[in-house]
Amino acid sequence: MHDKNDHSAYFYVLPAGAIILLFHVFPVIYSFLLSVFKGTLKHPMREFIGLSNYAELVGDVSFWKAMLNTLFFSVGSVPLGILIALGIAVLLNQKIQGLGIYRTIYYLPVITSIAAVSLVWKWLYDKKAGFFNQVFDMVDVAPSAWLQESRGLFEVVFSWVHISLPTSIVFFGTEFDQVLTRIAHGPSVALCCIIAMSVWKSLGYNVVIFLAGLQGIPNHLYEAAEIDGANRWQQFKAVTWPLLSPTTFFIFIMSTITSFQVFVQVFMMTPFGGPDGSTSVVVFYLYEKAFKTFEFGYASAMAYVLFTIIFILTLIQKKYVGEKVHYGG
Amino acid sequence: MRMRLTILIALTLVLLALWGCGPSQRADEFNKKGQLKIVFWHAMGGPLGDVLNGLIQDYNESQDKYYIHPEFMGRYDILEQKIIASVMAGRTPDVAQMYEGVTMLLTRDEGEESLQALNPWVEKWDGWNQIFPAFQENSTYDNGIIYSLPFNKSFPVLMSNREILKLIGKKNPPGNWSELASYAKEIHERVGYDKELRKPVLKSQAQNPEDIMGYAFAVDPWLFEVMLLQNGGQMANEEQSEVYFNSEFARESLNWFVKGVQEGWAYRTEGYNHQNEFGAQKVAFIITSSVSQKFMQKKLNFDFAVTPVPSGREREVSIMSGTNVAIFEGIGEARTGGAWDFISWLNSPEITSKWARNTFYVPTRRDALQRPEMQDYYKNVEGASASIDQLEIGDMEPRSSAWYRCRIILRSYMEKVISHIEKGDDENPDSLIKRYLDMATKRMNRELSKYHIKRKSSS
Amino acid sequence: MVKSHARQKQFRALLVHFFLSIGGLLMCFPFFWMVLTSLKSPQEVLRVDHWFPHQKAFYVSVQKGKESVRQVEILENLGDSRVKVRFMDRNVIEQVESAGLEHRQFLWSNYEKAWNKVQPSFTRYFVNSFVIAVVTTVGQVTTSILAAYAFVFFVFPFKNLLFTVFLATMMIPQETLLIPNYLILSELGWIDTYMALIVPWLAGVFGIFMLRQFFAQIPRELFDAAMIDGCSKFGFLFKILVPLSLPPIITISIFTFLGSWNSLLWPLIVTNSQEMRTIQVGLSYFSQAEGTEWELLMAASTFCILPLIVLYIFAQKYFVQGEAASGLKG
Repeated sequence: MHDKNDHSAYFYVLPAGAIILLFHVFPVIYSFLLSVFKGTLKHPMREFIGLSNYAELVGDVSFWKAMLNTLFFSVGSVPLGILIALGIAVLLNQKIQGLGIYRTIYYLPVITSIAAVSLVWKWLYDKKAGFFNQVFDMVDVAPSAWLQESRGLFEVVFSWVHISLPTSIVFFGTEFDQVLTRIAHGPSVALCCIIAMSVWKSLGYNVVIFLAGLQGIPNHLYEAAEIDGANRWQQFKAVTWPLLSPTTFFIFIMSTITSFQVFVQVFMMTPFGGPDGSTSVVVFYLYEKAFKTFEFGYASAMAYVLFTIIFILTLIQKKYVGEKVHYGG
Repeated sequence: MRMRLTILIALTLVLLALWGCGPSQRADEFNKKGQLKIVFWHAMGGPLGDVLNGLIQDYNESQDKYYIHPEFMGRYDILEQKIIASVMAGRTPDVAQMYEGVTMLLTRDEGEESLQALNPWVEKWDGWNQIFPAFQENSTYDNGIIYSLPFNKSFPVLMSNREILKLIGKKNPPGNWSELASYAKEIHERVGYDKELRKPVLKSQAQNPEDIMGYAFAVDPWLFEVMLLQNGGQMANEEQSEVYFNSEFARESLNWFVKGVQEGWAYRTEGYNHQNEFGAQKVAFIITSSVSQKFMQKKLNFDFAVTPVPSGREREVSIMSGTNVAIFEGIGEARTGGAWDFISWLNSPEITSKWARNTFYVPTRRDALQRPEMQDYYKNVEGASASIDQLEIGDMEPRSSAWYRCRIILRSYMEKVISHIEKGDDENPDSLIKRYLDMATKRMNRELSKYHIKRKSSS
Repeated sequence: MVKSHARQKQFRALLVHFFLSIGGLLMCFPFFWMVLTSLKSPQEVLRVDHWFPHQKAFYVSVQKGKESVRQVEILENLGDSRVKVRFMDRNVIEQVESAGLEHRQFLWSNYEKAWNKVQPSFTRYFVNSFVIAVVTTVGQVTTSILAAYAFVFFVFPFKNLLFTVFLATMMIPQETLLIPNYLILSELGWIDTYMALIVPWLAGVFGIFMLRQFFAQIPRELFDAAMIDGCSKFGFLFKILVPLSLPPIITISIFTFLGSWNSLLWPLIVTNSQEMRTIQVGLSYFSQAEGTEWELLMAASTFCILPLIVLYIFAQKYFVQGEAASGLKG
């Protein structure tokens, strides 16, 4: 009876379908079209220009700097976030009292508005009266410019051991040397500040997922290992880590995808792209190109490149992790 | 089945109706006194905003046809972004303050101009001929189309701490760049700041004086460009498709700042800090827009002088800063009339004089200078003549719609150069300057080429 | 043997608590600092020597009909009910009536100041955020329920293809949609209206996906029995399925509400006028205005964050449970 085609289904699907097709599917095509056309302010698709926007992207040093900054952000925030979250989750899993309270506290930053907390952190990082510089002052350390410090992390660390990196690397003799220099110097202190804040913000989210994963590991496996004479660290290596790896991989890919899309923190804490453009990430650069200078074609090309990267990452996630979605507490 | 058909038809109608509502300008609105509402977007805040609001109130009360509804947008870049966004959304203000680059952007696509050509109005107006030629040129675009009237114009002025000048035995502020450099150097060497007396003193006569700097600056292309022109160079070619910021004139100009930082008497500050430092008497000279005095007035409790920007080697020239006001397309005849009435009122002799006298912007027309209150202001207020004297030698920056981005590029490369010098790099400053200015010029040219428009010329 | 084992366990538990507490403090500290700053005066904010708001002296006067409250430092009592004070905002020394002096420690007035500092005021922004979040949530939940129902309980041509397409949209980052949607909305004339803020988000595959999973677990017999009883397909959905599905519905609602409330990029782009701003957008403009008054910014951040914290405390279970189980971002 219910195996016959029932066309009234279309009415049920129509509301969602119409919205999704119009605002989520069609734009993907439209975005590509925009990137291969040139036009006026009010009519962005006048003249077909093929892939010249993409070619220009390749030669755009600001774009590569943005990609580099995004990569720095990702590499800086994802592993760190995972390690700390794992650590916290392991601690929380130790069958202690007050699990609920701790979980609440750690999860709190996750649900707060990122715009508001970005401001709070911007204030913490303030050069004159921010908390961090006040602490530095108390222990007689020179204040840092934090969000206005363009020096790279490596540069700063090396300077502590009195090694000074060359301030600019002249390799090609073109402006791309800037990219090389930035790679050598590392992410700017400003970008590191944003990384720190981002790790803080999303920690609880990963903790909760890890905790669920940890709690899914049967206890008898630990007991068996203990009987075999394994200490806690060896138990972790032999039991916890391998069984947790699907969860870890899942978080890794998810965090990476999210990290590539970072925008709000950068926009709120360094509205102009940071010192020496060192906090301008891809989405930020895209936003500027699209909505500050209204270069829709060019920005669409950038959006498409970003889309491709994320699409590939998501495919990897789907393929290897599958759809481990089940509802149930 | 009938139910489903009905739903389908209803949905289709709804969709069609929704699609039908395209972007459109707002309707005419009137206040209780029967005045037509004219929406004016601007970025004048603080004391300047107060003066502007006062003028707007005067206008609204002086006649009964129109009233101006001002909306303060915060900063210029936000204002510009909002203007362009409003054009895209099809719902614009009636009048707005804007730089030439924005005017260009809004009028470069033939057939899709978002601003109204003001020529029909200007032709019937007796004020145009009184507007200073530099401003006339600034508001006239290709084929003689006038898209704006001048609004808040300023020039760079040199502010000097007279007390410090006295200490080194100089009566007058420096008149040219080399004088400025040598005074600044001498001051840095010989003058210090006594914390207890809270004033500058000769180092030789003080115990533990703090250092005083000669010249403080925020990295900004404006002065660099002025020097470039003064030295005989050019910023761009006539079609504005190419810039010359890597010429020898450009390198020479940037080198002035570089040398200052190297020799230790000049230093870079962020934002408006150079003004704060000047007010705190930590630095002897700064060059700022004439209008900065309005913001600094209350904080300057020492004897200071305001003179025109130092002169250069070859030409007597300066570069104006500030914006114009333009009227948007599609707002209807009535509001266009009101918008024109307002902006021409702003450019009437009495009002432009009042505006100038209260803000340190310059008056926009010659006959305003003849007015007695203007003469009085010119003679007796420190800082009045410094900018007004530059009216006849004023030039302007390139007006390409890509210029805003070019400026950002130029500034970022200037900053890189200064950063290197500050860090005490080994590299020869000349090669440093050449390398970065070359890169900056290349990138600027790329930006310009994207926006280089070829309008059909009418013969 | 047993005793030392117990002692060891106790010690370990203590150690765990120690580290977790330190971590917990680090998690909460920024909020603490935020609230502290919000209660300080502008002068106090910039002072680096005390962290906790002190007792401060203020001189209150009425000028041109507006009350002016300025922080002062009391220098000398001159007798005759006059006091010599230093106004800390302009660094001038004056003699004032001691009757106008007030002492305050926590400047709760900062909250009111921050609230009204923006145009028109944060009230409008809150209303906007609330309306948008509620309508979006109701809309998304409704369309998701309907669509998921169709995917599970109906058979129709192109069902799998359609679902795959829907699923694929989960892999599309928001950034790719920004520009084309902006242009589409421009064309429709919806920029700077509630339509632009709400309509594109009236459907979302996250909800469809989650509900589909849940519906698929509903025993088929229930459905068959209802059909035999003469229940219509819509009736089954409305009367039986939905009440059974409250847990996932609540989870989806919370995440949708959260996502809408906290979103910045989309509302930033599609609104121009001050009246249409949401809380997040308003906060971003506030923070970029000339002159950063940190005490006001922190007050604004506080009242922006507070509603969600309240919601979280009451609905914690659903936040954590839903996220852990689904592993999908809300």
